[in-house]
Amino acid sequence: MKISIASGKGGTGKTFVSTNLFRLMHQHTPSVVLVDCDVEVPNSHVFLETTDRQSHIVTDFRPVIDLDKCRFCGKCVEYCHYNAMLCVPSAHMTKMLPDLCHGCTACMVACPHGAISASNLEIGQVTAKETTDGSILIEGRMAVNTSSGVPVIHDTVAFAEKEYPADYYLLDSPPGTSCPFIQTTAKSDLVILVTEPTPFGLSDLIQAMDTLDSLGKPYCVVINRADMGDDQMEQVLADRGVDVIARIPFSREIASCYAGGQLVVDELPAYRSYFEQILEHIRLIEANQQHTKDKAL
Amino acid sequence: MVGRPQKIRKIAGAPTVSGFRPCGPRRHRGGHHSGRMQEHIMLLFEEYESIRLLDYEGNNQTDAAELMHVSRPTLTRIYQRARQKVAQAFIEGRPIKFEGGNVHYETEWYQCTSCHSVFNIPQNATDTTSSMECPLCGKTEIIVYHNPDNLMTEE
Amino acid sequence: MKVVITSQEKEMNSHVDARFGRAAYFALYDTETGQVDWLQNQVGTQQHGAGTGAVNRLANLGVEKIFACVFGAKVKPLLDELGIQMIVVQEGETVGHIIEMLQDRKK
Repeated sequence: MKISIASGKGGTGKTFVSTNLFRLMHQHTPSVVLVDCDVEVPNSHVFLETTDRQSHIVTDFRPVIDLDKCRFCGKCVEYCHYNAMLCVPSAHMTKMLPDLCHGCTACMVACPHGAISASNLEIGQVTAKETTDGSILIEGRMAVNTSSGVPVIHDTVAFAEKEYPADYYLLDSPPGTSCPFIQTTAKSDLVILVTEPTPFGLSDLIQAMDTLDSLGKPYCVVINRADMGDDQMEQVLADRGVDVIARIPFSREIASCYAGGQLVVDELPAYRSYFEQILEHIRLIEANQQHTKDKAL
Repeated sequence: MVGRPQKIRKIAGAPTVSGFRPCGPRRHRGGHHSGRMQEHIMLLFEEYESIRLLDYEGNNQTDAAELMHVSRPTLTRIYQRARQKVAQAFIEGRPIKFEGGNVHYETEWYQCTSCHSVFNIPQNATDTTSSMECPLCGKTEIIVYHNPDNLMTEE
Repeated sequence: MKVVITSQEKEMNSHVDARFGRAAYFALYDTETGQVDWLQNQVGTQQHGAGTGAVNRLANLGVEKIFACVFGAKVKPLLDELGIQMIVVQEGETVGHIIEMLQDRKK
């Protein structure tokens, strides 16, 4: 079962929830892997003492144009969906723009003169890390100077599933509601949206929920710092019929613990119950999904 | 969410060739001419420029960083990448292609004091400020414009 | 010589469109013949690379100068390489007035 922990607004507590949930879950069911998909700034490793087990570079296709073979027919421009190709015969110029190129290879396929060949651009790195309690963290990290983290996220999740089969995957999603978020949540069985009861938190949460609705993805909400802010959020969620599976209060102790790179479920046992709540809901939803699958057969 | 947009770096001029190819036959046996060994190594223009300023012109890293309008650590990173790629090309016998990168050529911006239009002079022109004409109104009272960042959007 | 002025609409009294890559229209003006063609910008609504799409089209039409209010940072190096001049005009200018000034300039 793949569970994404996402948000909408950044800074609501995704990593806080995913790392603590991971630790707790591993104590109950060891077959769980944490996948850090926040490839721009992966920070799950801060909370887990880890050693690197293996690592590989993620590369992406970029075309290389041989101007000796190029006949300036412009087919590559025609086939490029991203306007990443420029062809101006009068200036003897055919050029690829690396920031716009999405590595789809359509230009290479389209070129009738064999003037386009492949090169590999390094776009990131995936590392498997082992924690002191034997659990596994798979971390994706985008290379500096890369314009999109999406292919790195894809590689990270695929690598996790292939090399570290497990019953559960927790995917720590990037913030926001655009391509990286969608890439992470798209194949999940459940999305946990972590939010905060503020106008900014609410507006981004609604965007996230709308996006997941259009993808047909099941989701539920964890409200962090639930005792601050206003009650608009509860109203909106009640109206939409969305399950709130935990309401974690603001606590200076939690903030201090997090700032020190520690896990709350280890250091502040009083707060374990919130994560147990979350875990229980996951089990419930898992059982329901299984039941629906069984019925369908 | 995308990574922070890379700052555009200045270089003084394009490379004189589009790349380099190894010559002669391969010495190793079992060298089939397909696959990785034929793959180009792409050297970005900014990496080329770091080699030009440091190895060819003999500048130190501090001066080179200033000339390229980047910080010293960034220049070091670019240069290290450049050297690593060149070494790789030599040892693995692979062609180098100069490509891409976030650079803009050192063309200046000028402003017409009459209609206030701001314009550049494309590379091929040879005008100096005094004989320059405004492309819009034709007046010749032209000054150098010092805020080119206002004219660009970071997209 | 062919030049382009970005335009919000298809009229001579249209305001210059502040954007380049996502301009609504391009007014293609031939300084020799005085002809004005109105090109609808097809790449303006595309998600990616509107600037490069516009450069591709205009460069292939033989345009030598572009009048707009702002240019995307990715577009400047391309236009530099192609030798196409960029002119940033004051916001509020109209296409008609710019053409008039270009005509006066010839005299």
